[in-house]
Amino acid sequence: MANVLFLTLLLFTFFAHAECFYHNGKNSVSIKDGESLSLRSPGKPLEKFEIHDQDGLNTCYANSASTVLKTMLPGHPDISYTHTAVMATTRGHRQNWSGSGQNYIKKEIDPKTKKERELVFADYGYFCEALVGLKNAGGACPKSLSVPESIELWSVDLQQSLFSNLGHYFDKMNEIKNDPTKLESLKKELNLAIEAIRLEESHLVRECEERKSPDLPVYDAVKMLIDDQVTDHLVEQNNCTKAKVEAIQKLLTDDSIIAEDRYLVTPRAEILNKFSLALHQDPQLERDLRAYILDEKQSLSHFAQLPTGLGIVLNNLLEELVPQAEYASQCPGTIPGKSALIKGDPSDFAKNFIYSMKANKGTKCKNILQSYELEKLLGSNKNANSCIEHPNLEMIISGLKPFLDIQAEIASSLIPQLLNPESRFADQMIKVLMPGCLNLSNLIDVSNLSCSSYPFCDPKNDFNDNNSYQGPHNGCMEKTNAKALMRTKSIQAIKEGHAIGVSVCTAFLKEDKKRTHYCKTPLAKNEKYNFHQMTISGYRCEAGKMEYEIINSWGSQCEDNSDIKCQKDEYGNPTGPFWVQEEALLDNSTGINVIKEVSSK
Amino acid sequence: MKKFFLMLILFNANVAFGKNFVIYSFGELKVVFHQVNGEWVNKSCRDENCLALKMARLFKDAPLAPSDLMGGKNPRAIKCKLVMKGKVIIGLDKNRNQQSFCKFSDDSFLK
Repeated sequence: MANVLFLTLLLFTFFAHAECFYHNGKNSVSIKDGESLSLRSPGKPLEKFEIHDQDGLNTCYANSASTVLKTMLPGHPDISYTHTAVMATTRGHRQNWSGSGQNYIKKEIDPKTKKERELVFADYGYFCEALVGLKNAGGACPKSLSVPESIELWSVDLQQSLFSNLGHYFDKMNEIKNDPTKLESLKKELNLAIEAIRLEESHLVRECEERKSPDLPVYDAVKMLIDDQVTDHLVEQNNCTKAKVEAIQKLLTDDSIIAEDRYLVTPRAEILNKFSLALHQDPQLERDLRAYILDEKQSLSHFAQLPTGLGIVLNNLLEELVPQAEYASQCPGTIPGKSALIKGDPSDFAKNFIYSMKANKGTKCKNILQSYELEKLLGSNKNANSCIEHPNLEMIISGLKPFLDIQAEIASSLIPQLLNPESRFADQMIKVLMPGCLNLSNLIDVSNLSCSSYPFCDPKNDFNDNNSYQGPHNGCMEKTNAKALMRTKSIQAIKEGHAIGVSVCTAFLKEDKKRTHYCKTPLAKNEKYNFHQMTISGYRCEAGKMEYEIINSWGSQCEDNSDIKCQKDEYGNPTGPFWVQEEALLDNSTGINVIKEVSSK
Repeated sequence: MKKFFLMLILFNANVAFGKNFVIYSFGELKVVFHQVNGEWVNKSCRDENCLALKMARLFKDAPLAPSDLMGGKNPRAIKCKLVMKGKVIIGLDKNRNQQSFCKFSDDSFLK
């Protein structure tokens, strides 16, 4: 009997603690053991979220706010965090940043190193201020319209140098705008530089546009085909892959690169022409391709014969361009008549080819001046019409260089507008970094949203935007109350499909079992907490312990410890997001930030 | 028993030489990365003749002043610039997730 009672008590104890239950006399929240909800799951708002890496920018408030907004807005669009950061700090509560005569770069002395360091205008924003700034700007801007975030970048320090150098540029503009002589001189020299770039680039633009046919764009599809073969070779490195890549070389331009661990390949113009011609040979095939590719609403299932027909065309063309004789001896299993450059079934291969054409329909030429060196302009020609000696111009050009290289056709038309110091400097910043975001019709309405911060300690004189502090004056909330607050707000939001922001100090991300009591535990002299903003995107109860899913903005960086379990890919590599134990997160947080629809209670 | 151990060895060999490569895009350039001593570096980087691996040792041990990390900056990006004297460059993986890398003068990359 005693044993039965003991066993019953043991079972009761086990089940009583198995679920994540909390009650503080006022609120209770309970979730069952094993219950889990993540906004990154299939069908949820963050399923296709692209992880951010803010690198050396202090834009965590904007990274988090833009992530939360993605879950709040209809259709779950990707929101630009660079636009959000600029709006938060120039149109948010600190309106004095946007006036003329103010500094876009501030200098301060590091108290520890005593060295001067530079703060860019977009540093140190606040989560809720970001929403205020976006409302004042007319809405949130889609990520696709932000140059730094949307274009595949090939430039070191691009994000930081763009913000930093543009900040210097606008401060310099502030300085000289009241001196007509200096301003005219700067305008003249910059225009000369722009004209020289335009002349050089115009033939490159023409060349690029000729490659990309507006109706049946083959460039990216052919490139994808070649990229696949080269990737296989770099990864597999066997005789067959080597033979195929050697055979493919004649399809590529002379400046294509295939090295041991990297490649940059460009199909030759005549090869692209052959692909284009092949697509036009069969009238029915061409009709079906045009109908599918040019109409966004068309489904490939309406053209049942298209993949099969195109598969045959592509196979025959590839056999002609890269005959089997060039690689068959190294590739056992080569099927006579089937090009080994086609992986799997030719009709499946053709489907991917068609999808690539559709995805790149109307794609503008980009990155065409990748190797263009402005230094050649600045010093090489001593002709009076093109020699540029203005002391500030080199700084300006170097700051704009990454942007000029990548967006030449847009930059050359926008640069003259940058020389107008009368207009809002923030607007001019937007013109360079994300020109589409100045068009109100491109912005996504956020006027129905409001933001509230729930600090765990009395914010006193800290930035206050709908702060809802519920604890003692000059103190901090009891842990039990703070836990209930975090749990109820998080679970409610996530069940509604919305992420929330959490403000933390970052030591616990690296130091095992770090506890700081809301980032208040006294530190050594001259030590400071590193404050950071992250996003809560899920929750779960595991073995009776509550955990939260966190999205950070440090790329794939994540370290496992007692409190943190990094999410990993199929090879065991961290992908960035992680699960953290509630106790650890709460103890290292200063509060949470929640965005709601105004009509919601 | 011998067959069992043979299978075990073959299995582990397959895992050890399995396809654990990742490709990142930097503009039109694509670079293949692999792991060496737990560090992700470009595939041609195999020993400390390569700056990325040489500097990776500094990376773990060298502390940063708290002021260097203020505002939630990515610690690895800051260490790249201040400790390793490299340059930060952002690549995209196949799902267009951003990832910052430290690039060195010998064209090696460290994630």
